[in-house]
Amino acid sequence: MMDHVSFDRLSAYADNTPLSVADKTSIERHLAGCASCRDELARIRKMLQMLSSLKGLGLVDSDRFVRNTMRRISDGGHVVHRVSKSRAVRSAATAAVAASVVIAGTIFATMGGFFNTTGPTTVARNEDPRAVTVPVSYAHNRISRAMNVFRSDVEKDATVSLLERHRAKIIAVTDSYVEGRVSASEFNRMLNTFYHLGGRRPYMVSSDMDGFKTVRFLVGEPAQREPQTSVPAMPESDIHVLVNFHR
Amino acid sequence: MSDYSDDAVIARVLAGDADAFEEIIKRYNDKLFRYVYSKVNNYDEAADVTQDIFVMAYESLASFRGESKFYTWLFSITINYCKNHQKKSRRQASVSINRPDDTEFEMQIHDERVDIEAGVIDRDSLRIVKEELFKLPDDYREILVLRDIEGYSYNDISSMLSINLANVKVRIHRGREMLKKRLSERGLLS
Ligand SMILES: [Zn+2]
Repeated sequence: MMDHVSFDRLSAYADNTPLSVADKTSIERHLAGCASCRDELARIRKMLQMLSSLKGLGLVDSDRFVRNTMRRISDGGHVVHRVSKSRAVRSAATAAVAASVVIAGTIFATMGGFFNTTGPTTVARNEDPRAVTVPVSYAHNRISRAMNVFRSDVEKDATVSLLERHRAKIIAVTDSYVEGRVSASEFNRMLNTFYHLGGRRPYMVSSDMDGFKTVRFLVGEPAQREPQTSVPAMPESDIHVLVNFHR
Repeated sequence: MSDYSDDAVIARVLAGDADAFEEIIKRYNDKLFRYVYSKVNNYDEAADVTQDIFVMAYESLASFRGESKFYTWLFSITINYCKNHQKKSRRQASVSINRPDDTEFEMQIHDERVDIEAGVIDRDSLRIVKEELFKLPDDYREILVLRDIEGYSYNDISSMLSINLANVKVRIHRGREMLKKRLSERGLLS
C-alpha cells in the first residue's frame, strides 16, 4: 500500500487549482482505493463549505454604511482632481512634458492644474540644491496619476516633523507649502497614518523614476475646495486614463 | 453603474465624479468588513475601521496605478491599515481588556443572513466555525478569510499580503490543518 496522501496535497486538491495534472491523477488513483483518504478529503470539503458560509457575516445595515461613508468623504473637504481636457493639455505643455498615452477611444486626462505654478519664492531649509528648483524637478519625474489636490491647513513645523518622521528629505519650506521626498514604503506608511495625524494630507504627490515620491503639503490657508462637476456618462470601453508622463 | 468594471468606476472617480465611489463601497463593504472583523472581533469597531479604510482608499485613490487589480490594491491597504490599527490597540490594551462580546451581531449571523445556505449547515455549527477560526494565529486566520471565505486566488492573495506563492500555499494548508483539528475536536467534522 502506498503512503496516504498528505494533508497539504489533499487540501490543494480540494482547491482544484495548484496541482499539476500528474499529481492530480496520482491523488485520484490513490483516493479510488483508499477510504481513509476519501474520508479526510470529505472532512476538508465540509470545513471549506462551512467557511464559505461565513460570507453570511456582513454589515447589519449596508445601505446606511454606504450613505454615512459617502457623507464622510464629501465632508472631508478634499477633492479628487477633476478633469478638463484642455486644462490638462495646457498644464502638460507648461511643464514641458510630453504625454505618452494609452488610448482606447476617448482619453481622459487626470491631471490637476498645479503645473501652472510659477517659480515659488522658496525659503530653503537646508542646503539641498533642489530647494530652488522645485517646479522644474517635476519635469524629470515621471508624473504618475498620484496627484491629488487635497486640502490641508496644518502648520509648517508640524508638517516638517511629520515628513521627517517618515525619513523624508525636506526639499522646500515656503509660506504656502512644505515639500519633501520620501521612499515609496515610507509614503505608504504615511498614507496609513496621516489619517490619524489630524487629517494631514499631501496636496500633491508625484512619483520619481527611482521609487521615491515627492509630496507637498499646503500650509496656512486651507486650499480652496474645487466644485464638483459631474462627468457625462460614458461607455466603459471609452474609459482609459492617461497614465504616463515623461520627458 | 453596477455593470462597470472596478477600473471604469475608478476612472470616473478620478475624473471628478466623486459620487461614483459609492459603487466601490457597495461592492466591497461586506468583504472589507469581514476581513476587519476577523481582526478586531468587535462589530462596532470593525464597522468604524472599515469606514476609515474607505475614506483612506478614496483619498489615496490616485496612487492606485492600475498595475494590479483594484481589489488587491484595496485589500493591501486594508491589511496594512489593520496592522497599524492593531499595534495601536495593543498599546491601549492595558486600559480596556475585556470588551463585551457583540451579542447583537451574533444574533445577526444567527438569525438571518446565513439562511442562504439553509439546510446545509446549521447555525450553531457556523458559530463554532467562526469561533475557532477567530482563535487561530493571525497569519492563518487572515489567509483563510481571504481564501476560504472570500475565495480569492492564491495569486491575488500573494499580492495582497506581499508574500510569495509558496508561502501562501504553506499558510493556507497549515491554517486549514489547524482549523480542521479544532473543528474535529468540537465534533463538527465527524
Ligand atoms: Zn490513503
